[in-house]
Amino acid sequence: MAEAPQIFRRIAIAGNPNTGKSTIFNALTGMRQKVGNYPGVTVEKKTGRFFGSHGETMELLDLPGSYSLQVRSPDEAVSRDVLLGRVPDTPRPDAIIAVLDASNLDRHLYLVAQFLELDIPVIVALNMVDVAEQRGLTIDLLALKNSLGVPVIPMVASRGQGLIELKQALSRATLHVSECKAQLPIVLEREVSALSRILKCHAGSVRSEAMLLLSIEDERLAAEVNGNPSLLTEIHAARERLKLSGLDPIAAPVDARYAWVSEVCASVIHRRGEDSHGLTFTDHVDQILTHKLWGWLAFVTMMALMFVCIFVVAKWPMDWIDGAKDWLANLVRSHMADGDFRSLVVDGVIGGVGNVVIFLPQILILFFFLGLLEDSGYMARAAFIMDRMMSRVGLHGKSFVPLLSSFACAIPGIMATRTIENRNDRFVTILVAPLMSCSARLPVYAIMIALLMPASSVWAKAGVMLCMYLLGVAAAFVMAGLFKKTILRSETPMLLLELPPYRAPVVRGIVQRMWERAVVFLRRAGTVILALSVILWALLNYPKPATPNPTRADVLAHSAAGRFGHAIEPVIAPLGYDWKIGIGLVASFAAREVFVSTMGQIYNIEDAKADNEDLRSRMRDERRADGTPIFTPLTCLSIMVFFVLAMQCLSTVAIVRRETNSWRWPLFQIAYMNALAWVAAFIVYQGGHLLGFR
Amino acid sequence: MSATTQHILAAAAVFISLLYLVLRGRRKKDCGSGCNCGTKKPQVK
Repeated sequence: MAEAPQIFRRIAIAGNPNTGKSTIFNALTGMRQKVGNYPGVTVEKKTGRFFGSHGETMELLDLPGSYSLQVRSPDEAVSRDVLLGRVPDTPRPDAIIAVLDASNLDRHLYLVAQFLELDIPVIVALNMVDVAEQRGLTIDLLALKNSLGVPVIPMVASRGQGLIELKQALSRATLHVSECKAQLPIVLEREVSALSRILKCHAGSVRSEAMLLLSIEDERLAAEVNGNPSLLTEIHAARERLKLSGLDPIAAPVDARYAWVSEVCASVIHRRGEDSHGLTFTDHVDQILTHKLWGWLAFVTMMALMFVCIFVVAKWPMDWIDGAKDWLANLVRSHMADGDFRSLVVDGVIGGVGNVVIFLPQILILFFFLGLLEDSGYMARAAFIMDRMMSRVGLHGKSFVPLLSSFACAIPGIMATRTIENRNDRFVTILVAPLMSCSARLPVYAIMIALLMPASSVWAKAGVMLCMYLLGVAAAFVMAGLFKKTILRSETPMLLLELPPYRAPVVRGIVQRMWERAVVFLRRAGTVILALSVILWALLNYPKPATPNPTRADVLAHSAAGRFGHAIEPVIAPLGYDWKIGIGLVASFAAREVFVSTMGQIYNIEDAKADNEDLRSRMRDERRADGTPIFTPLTCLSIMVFFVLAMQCLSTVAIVRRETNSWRWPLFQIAYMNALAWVAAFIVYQGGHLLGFR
Repeated sequence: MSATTQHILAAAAVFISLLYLVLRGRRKKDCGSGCNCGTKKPQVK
């Protein structure tokens, strides 16, 4: 067995959010990454290895982005604790790569000021120097290096520029701890030294520990000292002495650091003339994209364009997959005698899984657009314009990212709520996150829209789909407002949002994310959806009727699923659904995409002659006993509305249970969302009928 | 392939699918740290 290579240096990569830490991490480590968790907290731990300039093995730790070592969220706490050497199983790093956004140097240097206090060698990766250049900023690298007392590597990480220099800097035999630090007031320095002596048994940086304890808010202090009463008394006494000297123990170090940052910035940043009004390209674009009216218009137009592309571009690959599915089904039919196993392979496996896989192109296009919007910096603008509405219903500004992630899947969205400090704000976001239309709903919307308006233009179809997404958003806002006023009351803090400059998206990164998404989707189709389709096939075919040579319609009506569908028909009939749709609805509670595969199986079983006809045509021809079509526009709309609002995903229920640490909240969520879905679908169907629609 | 063979193969496929879903459900519950890693305790995968 190969021996594990000796690690030459352990390096942490840290910095403010959105500075390109992960881009540098990925560029250095490539595929040699491991993803795990920090013990005791639900924050992702990402480590990787790479070879230095002389072939030595380095271990790199990607720390969560943070603005300061005075923490406000669990992920910031992890960054601080790792750098202070407090985390078990994670050795204190030998060096820090401080990633700074060159175009926002004045804001990002504050964290560097804190890193320099840690007594760990720091290497500054000055990223996005191209953006700084475009914004008219010239940074004097030599002056910056001298002011900080550490190596400064100019980089454009997205293009791989500066990586070799960074590796060379990391490979040096010795890295020095900088002597340059923010100058603290003498009284504070004295108290820090005194407290350092008490803390000297600690393995990490004693001085930074002491400074942190002196400047932490009272409510967090007890947890930080781990219930050590004598230490707590010492800290309180030191704080009192500082107050008597006229110094605020919390504000004084912050002021000292900011003064130092201003001094450094004044000597290293030179601004070239901006335009005649002092505005950059980003400022000009933002005047439109964050405007109260034009901002919304731009947002809706972009979303509409995205959905049009989903319909237009995805059509060809969807037709190819459909053709391949039919070809495979015919191949099996021609080589296998009629019987149970053939029916299972053709109807259950190929029909069930194939009808879900067919939607892969649409899902990939959705992710391509989301990646494009995120990487270009537009998502921060979308968060900005949405925040106006979100704050009106009391939703925390930090809810935007979890809610946005929920458009892909509610599970990462719900996990992303960990960045929200306030429990009530976090729970409100968790409760409404599944109302955002996830990618599993896309196949259901697509097939229903095809039935609803087969001959309409792509724009009309995209418009209906956009309405479904907006309905989910509106429902989330209304319900959030309701929860904030009733069961989860709390003050809503203001959102401080950094609008990054616009950047050209890195297509490689977007394609990589689409690939990851495709793998997840296909793995799910090949495992869970396949297993569920096989079981559904059994439920749709057994028990068989006793009569000799029963028709396929008889088999379905006599099957377990058929009987169940008939049993629940009274509950769903007011929504315009028959017992076959009922089977699909119940099956979709395991996973939403299963609705499409169930419909595929039901209509395959029912109509043996029409095997080559596509699912949409078969559903369109479906009739009630009185000869009227089942899938009328009103029924299709009612089904879509039900799917927008219903809680039908077992994985989401499990994750809500885990994140809230109780069954109470997931059960409440299931109850309120499904009740909401039923009532809304009822209003759509019955209200539409009253208004004369069919 | 005879009708009986097809019947047995179909039953086996349904049984395997059921078994897969049940075992998958059990495996997912273990870690408890919220990382969804499917392992027994929080650890680096």
